[in-house]
Amino acid sequence: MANPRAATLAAHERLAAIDPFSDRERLFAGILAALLTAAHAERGVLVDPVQPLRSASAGVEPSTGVLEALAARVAGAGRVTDPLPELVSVPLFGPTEAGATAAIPLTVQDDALALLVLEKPPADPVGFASVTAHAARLLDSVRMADKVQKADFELKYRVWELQSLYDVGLSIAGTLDFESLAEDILYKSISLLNARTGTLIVCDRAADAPVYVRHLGEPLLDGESARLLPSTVLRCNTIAERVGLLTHAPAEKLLAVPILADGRWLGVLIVADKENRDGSIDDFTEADERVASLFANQAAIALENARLHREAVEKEKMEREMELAASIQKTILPEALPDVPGLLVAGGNRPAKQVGGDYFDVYPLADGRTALCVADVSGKGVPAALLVSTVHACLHLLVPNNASDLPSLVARVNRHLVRFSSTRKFATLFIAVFDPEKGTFTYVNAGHNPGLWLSPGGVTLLPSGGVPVGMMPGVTHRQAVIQVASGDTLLLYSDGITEALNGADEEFGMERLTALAMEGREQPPAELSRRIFGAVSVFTTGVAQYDDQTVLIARVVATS
Amino acid sequence: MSETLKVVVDRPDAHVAVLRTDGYINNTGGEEIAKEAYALLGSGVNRLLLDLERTKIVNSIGISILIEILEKLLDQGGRLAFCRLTPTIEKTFQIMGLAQYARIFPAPEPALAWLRGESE
Repeated sequence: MANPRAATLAAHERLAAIDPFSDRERLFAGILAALLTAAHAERGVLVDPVQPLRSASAGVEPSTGVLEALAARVAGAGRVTDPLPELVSVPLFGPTEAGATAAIPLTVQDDALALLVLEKPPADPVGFASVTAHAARLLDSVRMADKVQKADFELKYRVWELQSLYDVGLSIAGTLDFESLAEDILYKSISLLNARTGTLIVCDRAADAPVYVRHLGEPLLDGESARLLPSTVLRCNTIAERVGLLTHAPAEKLLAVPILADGRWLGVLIVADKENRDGSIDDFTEADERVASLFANQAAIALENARLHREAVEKEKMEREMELAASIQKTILPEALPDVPGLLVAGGNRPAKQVGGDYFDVYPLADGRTALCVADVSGKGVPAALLVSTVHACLHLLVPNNASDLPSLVARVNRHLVRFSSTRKFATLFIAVFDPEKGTFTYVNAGHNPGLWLSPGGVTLLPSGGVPVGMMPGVTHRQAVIQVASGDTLLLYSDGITEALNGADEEFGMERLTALAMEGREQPPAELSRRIFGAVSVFTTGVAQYDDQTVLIARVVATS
Repeated sequence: MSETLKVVVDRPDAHVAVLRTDGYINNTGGEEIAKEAYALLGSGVNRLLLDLERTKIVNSIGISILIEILEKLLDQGGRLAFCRLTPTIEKTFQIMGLAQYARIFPAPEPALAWLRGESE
């Protein structure tokens, strides 16, 4: 193009056609092409001072060294128009006459945005100046767009940071799965701090065992060693700043923040090696410390919530179990005691809150005799209630046809319990059969509290004649018989009566029970039963009832 | 999941490529994706699907690299889609503006259909 004015116009048109938002390499290549048109030149380089290796060139192939040297001249603003040294011009264009090459900075307000290197000065310096000014404005608009984009990215990053903290807060309120929450906290903190790796260690409330240990990348610390860390933030941008076992952590720079609940150390969040876009590792800053501490606080809250939830679930489970046990027990205890020949019977059961396993019953037999029993099973809650249920079923099945041979009956109950109940589950049992014809009580006491025989002569204890049923196979139980008269009383009870504790940790005891029994020996059995329960109640005022309490009283009213 | 990212490239057809990532999209992870993406662009493939099923974490440097890849693809008339993002990563992409020019899909099939121009 021989006409300099036409060349200048063509160059402006080419610059106007460039998309300022195309990538940087294409941008520089387009600008260089326009500038070469305006300069009537074939060969040249447009040096990008930001990314020298991505500079545009035409007709020459500049080496990395040359591009970096040229980029350095842009940085030294003010000297860019000096003639290029031969060290640079010769490798680019070959030997030329001194001053033949041209280095023209593209500037906006003395700020050099690029350096144009031409094989020769432009033919129309005035027109060319307008083109370089146009190119510089284009580069400036791109620079401004970059700044806006960067600011926009920074703003979005802050939104992301706040959103992450908000999300963790919401998760804490919405989930009780501590493990997934803890992983979320670890990943979000690594992510937002641009860290390469991270470790989260959380201990139980007593801080004596790690309950959660998770790493991204190589572990920075093990769960056991974490307890030796101080309860302060450790920002270690140099090895000298590291303490204890963090000295050996496989990372260049570390930030460790404690997880504290009510001032107690519960764990640590460690992030390592904050990345930079150029691949280097940046120092952790105070702002990073604040972000990491916020996440550590969230972990502490999540941990506390999880603990409270676990406790609530356990309490609820226990309460449900107690309700179930109570309902089982309620269905098997007699609602009312039957009228039986020759006896006045009365009794009752007061279940403890933590349902134990007392059972009592009265069985009228077909031949006019009456069987009575009181049993107390080991343990509490549903297992105890189920065992009571088993004892109840056994006795209901066996008593009607086997009451004449109590040792054999008890042996069969024992066999059944040994076979079908879990280990360490057994029941004490007092079973007695009243024969109005003979005026006798025949009984077997299998490991139960001694029965009380109240007669004008005083109180006679009816002691145990064998071990509780269900405890071991093949055991036998001794049967005993007492001859009774009208007015005599048999009093059976469970250890919930005699072992009831008062505020001073004293037991109600046998002495109080026998004294009460003797005083009420002539009262109706129902009245005596109420007196016993009333006395135990008064004795234990203010103390929670720990065990089931049962009383069964049989007064002989007639014998043959 | 490891902090070191692995990328597996699958070519269901001549114009589309699927990059399956496994690991942390940070600086090194992002560069790994960019290396594969630019090689595909160089060979004329400008419709890419990034399947992040096995990626649970991404940082801002990884995002800026993904934005660079997206800009290059758009410059060359291409398309970028993501699929199988965790809810956290999807929200992050929405906030950081990636979802403005790239599309996010729950599964690979609709993403591939969109990349092939079979759906809008």
